[in-house]
Amino acid sequence: MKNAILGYGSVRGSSHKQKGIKNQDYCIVKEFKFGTVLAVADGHGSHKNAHIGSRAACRAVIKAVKLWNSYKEKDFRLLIPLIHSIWNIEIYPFRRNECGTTCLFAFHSNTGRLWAGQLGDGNIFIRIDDKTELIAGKEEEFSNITVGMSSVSSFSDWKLKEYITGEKSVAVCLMTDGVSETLIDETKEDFVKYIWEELRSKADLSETKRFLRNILSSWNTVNAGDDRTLASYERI
Amino acid sequence: MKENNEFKNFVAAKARMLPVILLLDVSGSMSYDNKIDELNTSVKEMIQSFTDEQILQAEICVSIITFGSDVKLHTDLMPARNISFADLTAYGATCMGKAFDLAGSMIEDKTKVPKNAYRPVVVLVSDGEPYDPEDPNNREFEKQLERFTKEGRSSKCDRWSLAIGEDADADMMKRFLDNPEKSVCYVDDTGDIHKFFRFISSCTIQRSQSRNPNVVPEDLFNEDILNMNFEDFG
Repeated sequence: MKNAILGYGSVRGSSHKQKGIKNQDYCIVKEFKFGTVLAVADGHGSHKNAHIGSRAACRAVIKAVKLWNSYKEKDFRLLIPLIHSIWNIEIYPFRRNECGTTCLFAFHSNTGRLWAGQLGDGNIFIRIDDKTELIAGKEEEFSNITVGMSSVSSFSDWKLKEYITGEKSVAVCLMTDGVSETLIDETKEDFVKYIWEELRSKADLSETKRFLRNILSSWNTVNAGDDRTLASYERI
Repeated sequence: MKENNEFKNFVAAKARMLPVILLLDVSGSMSYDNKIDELNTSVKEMIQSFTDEQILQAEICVSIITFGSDVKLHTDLMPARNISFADLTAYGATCMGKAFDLAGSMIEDKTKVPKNAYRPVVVLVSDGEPYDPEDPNNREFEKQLERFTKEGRSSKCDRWSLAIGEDADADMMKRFLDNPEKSVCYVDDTGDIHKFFRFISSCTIQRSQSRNPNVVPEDLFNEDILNMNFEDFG
């Protein structure tokens, strides 16, 4: 498989800066021999250890995918309880109801398969060849009091998608709601295409990270209160 | 930077909306004991408090729906700073159910309450029982209440209710809240109406400034702070 173009960035929201609160978003992008995993998470603002929860969610995804992928026969649904179990271990000794967080992830394997999952708000955009789709839009609710790792009550709280990508060109963009809910709705797809295009022109990971950090730090003041995180992957 | 200029086209220029929808009883009984005058003063103060606060993260937009002989959109949903409030006058019956329908339609309309709006606040104020001459047994009213509190986006709103005087249907207002952790606010003295509105104002302003404006700050819901009477009619 060809090399991937990766980029990720996370900035603390202005309201958190004012109050001396840590960034409650987290993201990890990890390249393994078997494929690439991206994870972003947004800790619930009302939870006092939200930053611990979001970091734990991303770590749990990475560890869970690694273990799950080691099995030849894999049902995607079996990955989810694994993420939850490892998350519970990762947040220990803190309480679950103090560490609530969303969790968004994507895993593109070298065998030409792509899996994506979302619990809670935020957006995941997937492009395969020239077709781009948004995995889980919020059609009904305006509320961000979203389900999360500490409050999930049903398997159906997770939105899961699976793709056979083969040798096709693939791109993924994960973003927390600090980004997704402050973009002009009609331009979201154009925004992610802009991000993918700009990252292609960067020389290396440090440049892509710097670019994304600049973008996220330059957000319109009226919509910069929340933490903002974005992770991007492209394989052409 | 070139890339920053291009990027700014994608980010919304306005803060996200935090809608506040007032459902106000303007039936004939509200003309007694200075109730309508106190209500007018309280609403004006609330709108002014929203205008005075420097809130960056959310834009508080207010709509006022009155119900008396009929339902009326007194003030369409708009930023509080743009509202020029016209005093309410009281007359007629209490077509509360139609107010639920009108408010429900507004909340469902994504051109008025966009997808990325924060959870709306809905405040019901009444001094009596719902009565619509076209629905004397309140059969339609019960459906309207059920629809508003259980279906669609309105069911997810942050609802509060103020019962004025002993004739108010507090039991119905409790059902309007549809939340075992919330109580109907009750005032016997019309002079206390403004306290309820100040509480709602404080709550809304605090939400708009918080790190998560969709979370209703529970610590504000404390009768000691305002010395009001929150009765549990449940």
